[in-house]
Amino acid sequence: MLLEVVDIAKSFGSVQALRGVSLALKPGSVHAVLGENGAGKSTLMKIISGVFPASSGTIRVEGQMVHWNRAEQARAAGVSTIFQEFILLPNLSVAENLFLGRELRTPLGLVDRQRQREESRRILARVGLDLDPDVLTGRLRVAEQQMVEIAKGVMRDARIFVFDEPTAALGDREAARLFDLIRQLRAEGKGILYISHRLPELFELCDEVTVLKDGQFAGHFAMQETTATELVTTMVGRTLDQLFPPHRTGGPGETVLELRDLRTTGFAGPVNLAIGRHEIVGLAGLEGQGQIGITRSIFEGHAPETGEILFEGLPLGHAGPAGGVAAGIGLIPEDRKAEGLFLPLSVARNIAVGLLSGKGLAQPASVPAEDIAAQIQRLRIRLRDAAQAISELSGGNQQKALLARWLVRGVKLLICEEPTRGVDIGAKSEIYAILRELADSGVPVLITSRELPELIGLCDRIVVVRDGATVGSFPGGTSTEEEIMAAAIGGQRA
Amino acid sequence: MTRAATAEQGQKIRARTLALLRGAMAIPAWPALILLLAIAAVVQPRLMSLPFLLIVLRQSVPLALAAIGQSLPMIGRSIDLSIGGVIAVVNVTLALPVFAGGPVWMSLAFPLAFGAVVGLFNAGLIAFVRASAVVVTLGVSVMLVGVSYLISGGAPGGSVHPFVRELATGRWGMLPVAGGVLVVAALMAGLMLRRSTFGHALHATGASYSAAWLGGLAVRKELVVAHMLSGIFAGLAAIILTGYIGTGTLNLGADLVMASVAAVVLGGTTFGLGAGGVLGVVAGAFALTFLANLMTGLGAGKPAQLIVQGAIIAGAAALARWREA
Amino acid sequence: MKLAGATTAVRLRRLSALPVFALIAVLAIVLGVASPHALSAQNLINILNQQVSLILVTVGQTIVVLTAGLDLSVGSVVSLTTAIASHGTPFAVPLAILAALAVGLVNAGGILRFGIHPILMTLSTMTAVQGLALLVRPIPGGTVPGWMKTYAGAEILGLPLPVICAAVVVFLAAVVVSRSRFGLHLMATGASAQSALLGGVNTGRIILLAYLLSSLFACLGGLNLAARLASGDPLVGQPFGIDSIAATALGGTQLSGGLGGVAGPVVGVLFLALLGNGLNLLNISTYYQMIIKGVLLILAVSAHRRNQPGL
Repeated sequence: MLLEVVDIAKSFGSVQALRGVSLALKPGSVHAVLGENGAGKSTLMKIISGVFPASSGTIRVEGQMVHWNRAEQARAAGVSTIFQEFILLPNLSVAENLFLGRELRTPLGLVDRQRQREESRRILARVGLDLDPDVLTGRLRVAEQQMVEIAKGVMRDARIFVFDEPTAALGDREAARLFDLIRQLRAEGKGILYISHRLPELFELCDEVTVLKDGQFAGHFAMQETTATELVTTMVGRTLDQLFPPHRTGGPGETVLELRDLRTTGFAGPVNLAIGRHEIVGLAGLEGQGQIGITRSIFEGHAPETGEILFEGLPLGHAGPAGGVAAGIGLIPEDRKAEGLFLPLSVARNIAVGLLSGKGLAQPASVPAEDIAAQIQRLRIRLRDAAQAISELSGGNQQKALLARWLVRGVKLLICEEPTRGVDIGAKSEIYAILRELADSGVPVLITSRELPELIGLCDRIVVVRDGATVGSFPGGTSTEEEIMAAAIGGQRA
Repeated sequence: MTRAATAEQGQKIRARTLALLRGAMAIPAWPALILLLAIAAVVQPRLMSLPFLLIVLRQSVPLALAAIGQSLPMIGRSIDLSIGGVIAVVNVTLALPVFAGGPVWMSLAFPLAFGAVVGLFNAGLIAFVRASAVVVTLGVSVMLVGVSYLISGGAPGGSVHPFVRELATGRWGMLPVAGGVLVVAALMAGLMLRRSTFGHALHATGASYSAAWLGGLAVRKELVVAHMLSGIFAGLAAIILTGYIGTGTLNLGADLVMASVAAVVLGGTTFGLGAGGVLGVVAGAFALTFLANLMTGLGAGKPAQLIVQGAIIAGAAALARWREA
Repeated sequence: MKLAGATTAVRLRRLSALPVFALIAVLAIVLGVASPHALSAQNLINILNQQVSLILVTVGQTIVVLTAGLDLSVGSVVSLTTAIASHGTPFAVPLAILAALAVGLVNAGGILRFGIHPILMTLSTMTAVQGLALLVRPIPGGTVPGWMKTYAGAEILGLPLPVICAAVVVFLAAVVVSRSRFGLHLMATGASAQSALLGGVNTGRIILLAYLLSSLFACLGGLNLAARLASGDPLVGQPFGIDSIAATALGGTQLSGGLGGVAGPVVGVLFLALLGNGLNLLNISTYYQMIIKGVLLILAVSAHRRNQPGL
């Protein structure tokens, strides 16, 4: 065995992210790790790549026990990780990023820019990128950055490669190139761990698959001997219709929000989108295709390059999130920790923030204990007491607290970016149910998600975004992942 | 009472004690103060008399006022290093004949208004231009010290309005008037932080600027108000300080800048987290002033005091981080 | 971070220093017209010689700023160095260097080990080291070793030896920052310590080295100052903190870290000095000069807009 992970557990404070997960990687194979948002895939990968140590359990590389606390140690032992979050430095050149930490040097000990430039061209060509190695990395498109990241990981002389959702931002051609690279690595006898929740590409690429559910081992299959249905059932643990509330049977209701020919900065556009009073609409698409640009345009009221946004029949003319809140819109951002929560503050204060917006600074601040308690009960937020710091709660309960923030205020439209990112499965279905309840009560919900099953299961309508343009609309429930992916990739420029 | 109930009660008491201990650690000023008083009781018992403690209280008023002001930008993850400049300008201005001999409202209104204007200027650059708070307020401080030299012509002196002197040195019976000023100012600041939209929103902004902004809070307006209040409190501190010395002097208040940061950190507030509240900050200022007296009494001069002050800032900051982890 | 104007990394770093070069050129022209004496070789050499200490301190400050830190303690280190160097003990100079390295170690230790904010940490050492300087030398005075006086007075080909030494040091520092692996890692750490760490940079070591170097350069500046004064002064370093930050900001090194170089800040020092000299020649009071310095600092830092308000 190239890599053996035995009985790994990991907890963050009171939150148990992984419990007794095991996995074995053979040389010359591609091993998929499958699981929903919050199932613990990324935590497991970070342990394998040395970002943080496991709370318990053992890791063996070629039979040798290893203990890693830092990414360097794993790298030195021959593990190369292509992380999900970009770790390229925007202020360095592409070549400088590729050689960071193992710079080529001249006899005088200085960085050998000329050689690095030449080597970089060669490496970039291997992943099919024709880029000037001197160019600032911060200037590249998202897909290009992802490919540079991949090139950086692949060029290392490693025995084990870890890919954490590498195709999330890639178009068709880039993804094909990546698969070629991975097959080549496999032919060289390397072991590859491949994380993704796109089933079709797993069947195309992988030899075996380990499924995680709720931080636990849920199953292990040879890819040829399993079916998509079996994998989904193992991953979700119950059938989808148990996880999601039933779709609405009535019509969408009158239009509440309408985007007409909207073009957001940096994208071709245009966006045309209408949301009815009782609808949950989802935005689908590859990573970084302008989904967030759309949600933020509505909420923050960026002046669009062209087009207009109508809210309840009137054009939205606010500037900044305070204006969006005043208009009756609430936003739950995709990066919950950085943009949503006030980590050191109490749960009550985190919820009551929803009531502060738009109030004069000299006015008394209200923290209505009863309303907050009612929301905590309604959303079944599990906590010791409302004065507890929100940082101590699990991801799912934190997300519910953000929901409570807008429920306490009472919004007319809720935008929810990645509603279940890092949320355990129990909280997931509760969140879905609340979102449906909101829509039924006349508060439409706009969500973005990287998980197609979530969009299909939850939304009434799925709108596909490519290069900042709405390029297709699919009904929820009955559409397939393949249809939606095809629209998302489309004739995308590579 | 059954045994189970007793055990439960015991556990409750233990949990409460633990929470209390943790609370005590949250504001290093309190354990520090108790420690200092204990040391003083042993080595310098005369420091423990009520009249002397009241003198220390009076001495600590300017620092406490400046530190309350300083704590507001710090809660919002900013800093105000310009208070030294504000105090220098106010000091030489109040010593001008126009102010000393003029109506009393001038001597009271000018410092507060001037502090507010400086705070507005700082905040404009920090919140709207988004320039580094440290460097902006340092630059403003340099400017203001230059202005104070210009006003005094490099040769300060003169006298101040009698009411200003009375405010700083007067007594009601045994109680210093300045102490009363501090109590009123601290109560107002405390009420504002705990009860007003401004206070709640400022804490949120300090905890996460992005989240506060996306939550629809008026983040920039809060920073403006925090900095203006910091300037106003510096102006108030300058009135009391000027009243003590009764004349104009060169670069008065330079020492108060670092000391105010030390008092704030000692009071349990660090960048972006106002855990200790106004009371903690006042306790921090009192502890520092008491420490200075204690050390002077023991024959330790300014060098030793600076060394200890430096160690206190680092120690309290380390403690705050350690508590978070 | 704003990336406008340049597409390659190297060009962006060079461009960052452009404004200060333009500023000093304009100033030189104005001064040349206003006062013929201002640009005479002797006056320029004098200015350079006076600024050697600040130049050295600024080089160290720049290294720390590149990592997105700030070192407020450099002024106190300058003071302490002159105090130790003038103390008359044998081995005064090695002792001064050791003391400075200890300050750097404490700064880095507090920041890395205890997670204290760099501003609070260096504020605390600034205060404590100022106390130490006053302890070692309560009032100005004392005398420095003879060789230091010789160094301060020596000239080679009409150029003062300190200026030549500073030029060599600045050149080496500039090469290291812009061309070496260490320099690259400084910028990587400054842009995002977390990403840099994942990307293969030993950020802890980089930050430790940065603060050690900053203290070391402050110490060199202090030694040079003590040699010039031929004595020690426990408060002489006070302006160096603000002045080095002003020069660094003026020189185009981003205070939020990750972008800049050594040449710009050094020219920033010269710009401030030339300006002061010009104002003196024009008989403008030092009080106005303080105000102008404050205004310049504010203007310089206003050019460094951050993504969100902050320290």
